[in-house]
Amino acid sequence: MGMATTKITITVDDDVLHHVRTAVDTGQAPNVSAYITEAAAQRVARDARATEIEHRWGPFSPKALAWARKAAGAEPEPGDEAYLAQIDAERSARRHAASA
Amino acid sequence: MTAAVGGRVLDVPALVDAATGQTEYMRAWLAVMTRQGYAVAVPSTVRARAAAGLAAAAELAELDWFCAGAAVLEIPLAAADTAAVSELAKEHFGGEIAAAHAALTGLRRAWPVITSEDRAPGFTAAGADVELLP
Repeated sequence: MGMATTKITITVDDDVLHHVRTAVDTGQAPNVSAYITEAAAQRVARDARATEIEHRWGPFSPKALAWARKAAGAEPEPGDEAYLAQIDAERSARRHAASA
Repeated sequence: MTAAVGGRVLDVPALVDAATGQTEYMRAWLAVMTRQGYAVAVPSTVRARAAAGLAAAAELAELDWFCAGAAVLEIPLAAADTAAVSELAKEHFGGEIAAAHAALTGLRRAWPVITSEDRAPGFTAAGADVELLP
């Protein structure tokens, strides 16, 4: 039995839509809806796993998240810079202590 | 437009930290990587070495759980790469295969390796980008 579906109207960047239509035209997806649904399902699965990680091991401190965003190459959030400076200072202090 | 698919490679100290939870950094990082849709490369030799250093069954279970996520790609040491890894190990890592495997994985994918400050010079000398653990 197939999943229940609902028809919706969405707005998509022209550039993205061009790529989606090309994928459909070249047989990589049966139609635009299937392509968009698959992409959204992947995002849903990622968010679910990330939430699972946060429940298992979190909540994480703002300082840890600031470093995590930097190390992941993700967009920084306001305040991240101060936490990263703090981490650098702690690393320098450890270096000094080790060489003393 | 969409960003290129990105990823990071883990060295032993990063994976051990994730498994033990000694700090919260690597676990927070996995949550961020997963939400962003980025890939986490764990060379098989790095995983084996991390596992060998874990004393508690609970830590091994956490290591398995960490590696079970869809974002995590376990990278086997291919027979064709053993010579290159051995060479890197001899030249930059005092013969340690896991570090050399992580370096080769990082170089091949152009992804930074997450490691500790004391191990970073080997990766830098091998030409890999490095992200230091806090």
